This record gives sequence, structure tokens and C-alpha cells, in this order.
Amino acid sequence: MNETPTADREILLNVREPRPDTEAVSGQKSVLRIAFERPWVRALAPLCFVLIIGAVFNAQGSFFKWGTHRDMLRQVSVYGILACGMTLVIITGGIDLAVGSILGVCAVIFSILSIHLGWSAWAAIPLVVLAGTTCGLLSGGMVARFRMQPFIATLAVMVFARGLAKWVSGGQKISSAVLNPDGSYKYVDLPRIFSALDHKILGENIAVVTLIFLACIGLCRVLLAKLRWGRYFYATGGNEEAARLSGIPIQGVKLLAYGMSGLLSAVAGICQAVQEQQGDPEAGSTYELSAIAIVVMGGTSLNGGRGGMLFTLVGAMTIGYLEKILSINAVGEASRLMLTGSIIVAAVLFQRVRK
Amino acid sequence: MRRTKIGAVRLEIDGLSVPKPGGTSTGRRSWLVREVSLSVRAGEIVGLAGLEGSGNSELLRGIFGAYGKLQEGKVAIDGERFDIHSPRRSVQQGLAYLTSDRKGTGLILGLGLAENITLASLKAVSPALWMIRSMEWKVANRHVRALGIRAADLWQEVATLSGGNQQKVALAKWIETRPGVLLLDEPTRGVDVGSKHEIYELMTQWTKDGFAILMITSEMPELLGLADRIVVMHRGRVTARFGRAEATQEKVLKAAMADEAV
Repeated sequence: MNETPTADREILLNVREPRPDTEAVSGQKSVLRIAFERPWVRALAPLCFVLIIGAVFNAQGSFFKWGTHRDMLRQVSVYGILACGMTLVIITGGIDLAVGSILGVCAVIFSILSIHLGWSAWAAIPLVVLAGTTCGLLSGGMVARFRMQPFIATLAVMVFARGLAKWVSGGQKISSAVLNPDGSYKYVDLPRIFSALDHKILGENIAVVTLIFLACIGLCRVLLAKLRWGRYFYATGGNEEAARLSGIPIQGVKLLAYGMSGLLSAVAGICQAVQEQQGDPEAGSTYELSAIAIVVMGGTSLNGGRGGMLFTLVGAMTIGYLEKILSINAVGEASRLMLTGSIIVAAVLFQRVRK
Repeated sequence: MRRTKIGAVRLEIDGLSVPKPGGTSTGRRSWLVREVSLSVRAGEIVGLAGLEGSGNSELLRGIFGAYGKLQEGKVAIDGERFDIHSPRRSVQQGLAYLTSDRKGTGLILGLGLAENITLASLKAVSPALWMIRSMEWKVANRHVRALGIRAADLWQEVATLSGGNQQKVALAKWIETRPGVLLLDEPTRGVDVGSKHEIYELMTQWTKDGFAILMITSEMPELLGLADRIVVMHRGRVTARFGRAEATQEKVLKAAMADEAV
């Protein structure tokens, strides 16, 4: 009879031996756990889950029609464009609450310039993008130069930009109905840019705004994953003081991140105006929260330093499918909001299963 | 026993003072470091001794520009006047600063080994702004071999490395910037005995390569064994200077405590 308790001996051995250099303990973990330590698995799992739900509750087969997926992509595009900028800011360790309001200002300015003043798109779009970038740089300046909390600085810009949108528009929706001085309305034609952007191409198979969204994802991915400044972003968000002491221009990083976020908000504002065929000064309220939800759903950490654009693409599709599935199943708005909230919490908790 | 040819002066500090950050607007300034002068030659290790709060760490931070511009005192690198401005400018001028808290301010724990090694010299691996992974891999691989860093692969998160290997990554980051002057704050803190010895050997090797090292250590054998000269600080001022031969534990401790005669 050999009753040596092997487990005890192992413990003793572990105490005596020097600690291994790397954590070579994967043998004790289940395959599922190992898989879930990979960030892309964690990002894709909620998407798959939502897709399975869609396949089950397919609303008499309409989930299997390409049109449903195309519409989902179109509907999530504006949120997705905001989420691109939000990802950049969150990776540097900040947050940008101003994106929805900047979207509103830009939608209004774009509508005034192109519908009421009849500017050509070539002049209106750059000016609107410039306006959005300026708003973003305003947040960035406060965060980088004056070291304000990103939450406070962008909250201030959010309120300010909403006020700006109302002031510029006079509180009215800017549409093709133009108010005459005598109180009557005259109707003008919508400029061609509106139909050109709110349009489906490639045999009606994909919306132009979706292509704009995908282009934004691609550009931001190049910035983050391929350019030197992308590394600066991750370093700043990962450990700001260590990055600063390694000679990384952290103020420049923050300016660029918030500036890019403002620029992308302007792009989203133009897309929103085109889809609504008007510039609504209330456009984009609470959109910042949807953008944050998309980023978090993709698995980008709010602590900064981790994540990426492709995760945000996956997150956008997850949120988009969730909304679409609830709407094709004719779930009422009240339960839809409650369900969306619960599912976001569940997904984020689920993703935290690490180590 | 180290024997290295001592060369020309690489770092010269003359009357440098570091004010307490933020305390300038009201009344008298208080100082972290007051009128410190010292020089470090190529191939030399100067030990900067002092108790916690003596201002030796703050002196290194000040030289490196972590407090921004400093009004009082002059610094010269390789005989040329150097205006303290920011860490970024210091790195470009050939200064390197290893912090004493590698997890807090030294490394970016969420990034990989290679990414941390190239962090302070990204220009070399991203000509025209475009990161070239194969160049980064080569740089990291060279240091992993030279410093004997043990890791599963080059993109492994540094958070999962042991203390000694993390410290070597932090050192590799600074060696890759090809600095003239290394400012090392506690280079062997929280490092196992084996790695400690390897780090001593590396430092000796670097002095042979012509680096000038200004080092803080709270371990007496390390100070007496490695440093060619020892500068002792107390309450922000230099209280004693010793050559290698004359320094003893008692003398250094006495100067560090400064049984204030004044």
C-alpha cells in the first residue's frame, strides 16, 4: 500500500521550485476557457448567440432574406461611424460623450448649407467636417492641455454643441420646407447629394452609408494597427505615465483621438441628415450611449489600451442584429429597450470570463 | 572587479534645483532637490545614494524632464548645453531613465514584449510612419538574446513575465534608444537573484561600450560593488562624495543620515 498523497507532494514541489517564468498552467484549464482568453472569440461569441436567436425567431423566414441583413447594416451605420471615433478615444483611456451632439450640429449645418443656401456638396461637406473636427479638438484640448477628466470635458462639449445646434437652426428642423418671412412655406428640391448618399448600390444590395461606415472602420484600423501613432494610442491608454516617460507625445495622441472622433461624428451627421432628409437639431441625442455600447460589446476595454477596430465592427453587427431581430418579431418598444439593456449587460459579463 | 577605461564627461550637472511641483504660486518655494552638481564620464557608474525622500529619485526625474522645464541649474550632455524640457526631448537627446516602479511607470503591462522594447525608439521600426512588424521582431529578438529574456514568444504580454524578465524588458527598451547616459533608479528592485547578477553583468558590459550610468540603489553591496564613485544626498542636497576605494558602508550611511552638524 502506497498512500503517498500525490496532490500534497505537488504542492510542496511548487513551493520549492522557483516560480516559472511564464504561466504554463494551461493544462489545468478547460478548452472553453482557453478559447475564451482569445479576444476575438469573446467578441464573436455574443454575435453568434444573437444570430442563433435570429435563426430561431426568424419571423416567418424574413431573417433569412438578404434584405433584412442589408437593412440592419444600413440602420447600424450611423451608430457604427460614431463607434469608430469612440473606439479611438476609449483606447487612449478616455471617453467621448459629445459625439451625439456633434452629429446634431453637423446635420443641421449640412442641411442649412446644402438645402437652404444651395451650396454644392464639394463645399458643404468639407466645411461640415471641419466644424465637427473643431468640436472634437475642443474636447481634446481640454483633456490634453488642461488635464480635465474626459467625462467632464466631453460632457461640457456635449451640452454646448446641442445648444449650438439649436441656435444655428433656430430650434427648427431644417428641411426642404423653407419658412418665408410672411409665415408661409415654400418648398425647395432636395440637393442631389441627399439621394446619392441615401441610396443602395450594387443592384440594391448595399447602402452607401454602409460603405461609408466600412470605410471608416478600414481607415481607423490602418491608423491603429499599422501606423506608428496607433502604437502611441495603445501605449497612452495602457499606461499614460509610462508612455510619457518613454517619450510618447501623449498630448498629441489625445488631441488626435478626440479630433478624429469629432471628424467621424461630422461624417455620421451628414449620413443622418441624408437619411432623415432634414437637419434635426435634436438628432443624435443618446447616440453616444449606443456608440459606447457597440464599442464595449466588441470587447474593447473602457480602461483603455486594449481593443481594436475589427472588434468594434463585430460589436456594431451584434447590436444591429439584436435591434433588427427584436423589430422583425414586432417586439414593442418598451420591452425592446429593456431587453437590449439586459442583453448588453449579459454580454459584457459573459466576456469578462477570463482567467 | 570591474575595470573599464573611463572616458570623457558625458553628463554634467551644475547647480540643479528641482522645485516641488505645484507649490510655486503661494509664498516660498520648497525644493525636492537643491543645487546639486555632479558629472558622469563615459564608462563610469556613479552611485547616487540616499534614503527615501533624500531627493535622489527626484534628481533623476528632474534631469530627464519628468517635471518639465527647470529654471535653476545647467545640464550638459557630451559637452553640449542641454535644456531640460520634456521626457520626449530627453529621449531624443540620448538620455534614458529607468523608473523604480516598473509596473506603475516603467512598462505597459497590457502590451507585448516586443511592443515594450521598441516603445521608446518607434521611429526606427516605422520609417514613414508605417509600422514594419518584421523590423520590430528583429529588434526585439536581438535584445531577447542579448539580455537573456525568457519568454514563450516575442508578443507575449509583459504582465505575464517574471519580475526579472520584466526588468530586462525595461532595460532593453532603453538600450534600444542607444543613449549616451543611462539614469537607473533601482535597477534590481524586485528581481530574483539570478537576474540580478545578469543585470550587473549587463551594466558592466554597457560601461565598456561607453555608456555613462547614474544609478540609484538602496542595496549597500550593490552600491559599493558597482559604483566607481558615490554621491550621497540628504534632504535634496549632496552631503558627501566618495571614490571607489574610500567608500565604506558606515561612511555612506553617516552621510545619508547627515547627523546635521549645520
